[in-house]
Amino acid sequence: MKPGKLFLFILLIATPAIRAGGQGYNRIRAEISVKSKEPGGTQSLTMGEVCYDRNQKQIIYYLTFPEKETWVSADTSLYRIREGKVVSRTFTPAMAEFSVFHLALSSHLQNYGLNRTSYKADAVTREGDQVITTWVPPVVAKSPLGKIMISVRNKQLYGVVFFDPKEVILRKQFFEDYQVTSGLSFPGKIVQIDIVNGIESYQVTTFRNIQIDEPDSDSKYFFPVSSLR
Amino acid sequence: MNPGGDNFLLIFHYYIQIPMHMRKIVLFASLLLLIGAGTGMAANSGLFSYDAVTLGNQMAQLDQLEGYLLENPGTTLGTMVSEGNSLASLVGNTNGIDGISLVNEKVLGIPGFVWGCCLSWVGILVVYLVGKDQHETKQAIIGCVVGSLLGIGTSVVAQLLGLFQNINY
Repeated sequence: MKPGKLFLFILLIATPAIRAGGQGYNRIRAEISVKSKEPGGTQSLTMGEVCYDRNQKQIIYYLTFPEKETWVSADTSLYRIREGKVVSRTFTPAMAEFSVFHLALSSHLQNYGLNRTSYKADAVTREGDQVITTWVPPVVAKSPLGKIMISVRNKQLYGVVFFDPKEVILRKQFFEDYQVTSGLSFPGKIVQIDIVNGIESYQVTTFRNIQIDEPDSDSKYFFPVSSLR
Repeated sequence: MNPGGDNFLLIFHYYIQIPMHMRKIVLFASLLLLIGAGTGMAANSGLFSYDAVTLGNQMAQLDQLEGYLLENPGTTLGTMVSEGNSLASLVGNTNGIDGISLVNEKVLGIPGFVWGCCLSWVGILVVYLVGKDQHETKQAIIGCVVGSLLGIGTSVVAQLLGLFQNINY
């Protein structure tokens, strides 16, 4: 094989592999619904669309229910915009890079992004079809923080269990119904169970019509928040 | 080469050196150890499960409302209330039509669904810490952000939270 053809062949083989490595994914857009039920019976439903571009680092929710509102998480602020006017601006830690969207686009969802933090993988076990990793906080943080256990099935994040420092379960999350869109695997459903004093509350997040790396609709992925200040 | 077979032979070699009257005790102890190990594994595996029937029951009404909204896109709670739609009462609107009052608990003024569903462990941690001591944690988070911007840490918690800032994707 001539060098030119060999190079082309390698390029053709390597390109999907590089893409599968997650470096090529930048945008995700999906319809979202979040259903919550508290132990006292209080229920809530939030529906709309979410757009995220990992270069812009803005999580933008175009909510339609209960009311039409746009929520923009940008830098250290969360803006709520109704009918073009900012109805509130809240100061927050920067959130975008810790979102499920960013983790999925950057191929760090499988370990919940913990491999890039001071948490350390303490133990790894295989149990049936699950690979379970126990992550422990750094020594300096063991007073306020507990361990986190992560279960991976079929190389996809399945479950996350959060403990308090006394090893009491605080929260369980399950990532289910994965959908592969344009080669990117993203959960269609996240089940979250919070446990306080043994009493459970539930939250189910559903993603539908997931679109990856949508080429158009740039304005959907960036909100000019500077114009709002 | 058969590493597994070699190990078995080695174990057998030591086993036959144990006095006869001790062998039953060793066997029993080994059995207990194996059962213990198996139970531990099952316990871990059981952590990653939930009662789907209970969850389904808990979400039944909201599923109904969600189904209606999927069939009637663009419908707001206000529209449903004005139309007298009985499904509107499922979400327990008690304070007019205010989106933020209808979503989950608020931490630092941010609804829980933003913290919980769309953020990873950082959101969980913040909610947990705020639940412990809202005022101090709020100050710590603000200190963390300010400290990060200035390149300094401001408290122990800020330092803990500061580790988030080191994440580079």
